[in-house]
Amino acid sequence: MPIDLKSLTKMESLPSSVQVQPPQADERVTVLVKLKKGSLRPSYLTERARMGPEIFSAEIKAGDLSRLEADPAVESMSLSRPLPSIE
Amino acid sequence: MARKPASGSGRGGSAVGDTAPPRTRAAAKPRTAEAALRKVLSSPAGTELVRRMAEALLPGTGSAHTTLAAAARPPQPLPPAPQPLPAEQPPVAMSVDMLNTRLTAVGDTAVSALKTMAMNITKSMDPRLQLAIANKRSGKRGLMLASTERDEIAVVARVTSVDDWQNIPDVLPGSQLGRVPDGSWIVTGRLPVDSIEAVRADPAVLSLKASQPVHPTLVKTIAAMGVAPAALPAGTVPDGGVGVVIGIVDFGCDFAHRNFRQADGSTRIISLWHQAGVATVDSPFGYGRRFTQAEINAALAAPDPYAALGYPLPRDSAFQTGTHGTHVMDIAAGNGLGSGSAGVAPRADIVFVEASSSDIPWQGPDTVQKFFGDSVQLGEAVRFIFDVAGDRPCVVNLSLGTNGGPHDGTSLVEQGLDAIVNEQPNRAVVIAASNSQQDGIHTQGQVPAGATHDIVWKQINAGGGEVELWYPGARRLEVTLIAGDGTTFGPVAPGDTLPIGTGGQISIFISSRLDDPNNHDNVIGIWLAPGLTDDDWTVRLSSLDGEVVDYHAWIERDDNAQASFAASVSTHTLGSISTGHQTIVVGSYDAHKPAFPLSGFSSSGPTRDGRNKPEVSAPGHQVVAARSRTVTGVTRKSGTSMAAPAVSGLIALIMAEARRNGQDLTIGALRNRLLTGVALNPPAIAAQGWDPRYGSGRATGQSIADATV
Repeated sequence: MPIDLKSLTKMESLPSSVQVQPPQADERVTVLVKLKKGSLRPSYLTERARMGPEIFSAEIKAGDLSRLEADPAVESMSLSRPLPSIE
Repeated sequence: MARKPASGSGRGGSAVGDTAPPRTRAAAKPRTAEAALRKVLSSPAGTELVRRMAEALLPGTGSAHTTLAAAARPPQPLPPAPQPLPAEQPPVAMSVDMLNTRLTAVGDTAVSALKTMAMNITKSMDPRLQLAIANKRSGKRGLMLASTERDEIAVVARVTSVDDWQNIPDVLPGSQLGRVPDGSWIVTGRLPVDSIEAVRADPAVLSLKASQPVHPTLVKTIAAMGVAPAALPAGTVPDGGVGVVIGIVDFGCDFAHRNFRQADGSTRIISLWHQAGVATVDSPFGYGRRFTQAEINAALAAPDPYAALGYPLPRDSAFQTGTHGTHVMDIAAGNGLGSGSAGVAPRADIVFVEASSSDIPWQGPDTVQKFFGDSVQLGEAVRFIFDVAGDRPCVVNLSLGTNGGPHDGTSLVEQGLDAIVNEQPNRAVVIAASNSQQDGIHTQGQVPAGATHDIVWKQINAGGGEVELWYPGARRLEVTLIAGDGTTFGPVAPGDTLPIGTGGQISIFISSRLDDPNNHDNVIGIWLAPGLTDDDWTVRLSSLDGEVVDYHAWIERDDNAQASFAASVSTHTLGSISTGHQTIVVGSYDAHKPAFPLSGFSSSGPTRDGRNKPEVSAPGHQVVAARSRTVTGVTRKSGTSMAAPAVSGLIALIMAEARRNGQDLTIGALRNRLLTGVALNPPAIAAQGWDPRYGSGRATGQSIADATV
């Protein structure tokens, strides 16, 4: 079942081409998560790499994005997307 | 959106462990239960079993299986020491004065000791040919070049007849360049130096000239930036960036090229992370394959070092001569021991992250030879590099990006890069400006109050495409999409989406998103599937709140069928990750020409929130640098990707000098030094103080000096 991207108000704006094919709920996705200042990382998230005091990467199931949405510690999040080489 | 890599990429839980080493006789049976377990877990089936167990027991820890499987493997022996280069083939730096048409540099010789040398050489001849003859007669041996044997010379001639030219003894004909109005022909060829006078005297030869060497353009980069050791500011000794780490996040690291090896043959690359490689227990962040300096050195001893290392360096193709990453790395940090022409910081240490998001070659005509990274993995690559560097000064070079995004530095990957740079002093991230200046991918304007506003979106070969339109969060726009035949889709109200298609397949998708969480602006996105129509599309906007609405719009990058705006605006064309606050963005100019004109492709600032980027510009036009899989060869590439590493190398020199003086440089101080030392010619830069494409000026070695001292 694809997730409802529209319901994720904390999700960084996604390209339309990504919105056309939202991930399935059980699909694993990599995300960047930005915490509100002073907040602790939610325990259900396994941090992969830390980028500064509030931003870290993680791998979760797409269906768990709704948990991030509901989590008061989370300010915003972004899904990974392809980045081509600049020649 | 992240897509789980196809099997075989080695990411997370999909890796299969190493196979057992080959054996020449039947294996001995394990003698203990532990040994038996090790044997089972070391097998591919055993590793897969462990992966499934880990996934079932600990969801989200798919990478754990590699830990378990790796732990079951017996310890690996240390790799052998790198083999030194054979004594009879020491690396030799080439220089132009070794050519037979040049004079070799002399040692200390008193001018008063010079005497006329008795040589009888035909005087009515090209001076360079005369010099070649004189050199030969005085004992100077010529070089083996790409097109000439030793003691041969390449020539351009004007001849009465191509046939007669080809029949002259000792002439090895080359090509016919064309016929001139008087009926003679311009031809090329090679001939022994000893035969020059005889060939010149042939009645078929009207004119004979020696060919000129083309300077490796990395020389042009070094000269234009004033970063050769002799050109550096007085009193500075950055010593090639010694003690500084240069990180490269790119595609294709040819660690075997001599420019990335010490004189003893050992590697200068202190760590290489292949993000799509098969994971091991010490994979950074649980994925990819990290190669240590020792492993690279061991691989260099093998006949095929890439296979020995397990790192799939791409080969040349019809679309690519030499990998991008090797070329970039050479500009920043090559030492010239192979190619004869060093990069900007030839003594810096190197960390390379292979940014490929998949080990599976991208297939199909739409993606041939396209190299893609991943936005999250990009942030992790930069994190990895700075972690490897530790407290050493470190600059990371990035050459990835698309056209879309908010272009105001608020995307999380840009915020993440800013945060990493800010963590401690002596850090920098340098990003190419992008090459989309001539693509017509940006437009901006105002939607008037009380009237509609149209944006025409031109197609190439019905390629479809994607538009992102950003406008202030306090305003409200309604959007309608109109096809070339007048078919209307919408209107789409703020906050709504409209998927359009047939047979269950979406062909058009319109979204109108309010309140982006990072900048609280609104964004309209329109996606057109390829194959719909070659006609122009019209995006019609209406302001719903009775106010004028300013907007910026970008068309996403499509290297196969790039759509464009009919009324494009040639500002704000920086790449999607090139608008951060703490990163340094670099545009490109042509260092071959005295006026240093901008490269036509070099993207323009400012950022959407009005900040001056790019900061500086550097040579990015026809830059000759290391070519992968050639050991010493070079290739020519153009792009802001060639300009960025030149500045990365310069920053390494700045950092090295600061370190020598016991100074720590915050990113703000570093930026100030960079901007203080720019060259302001051509005059366009000086006139404005900041140019949207040159930046504050052309980056130079003057920045190495501390302007405050």
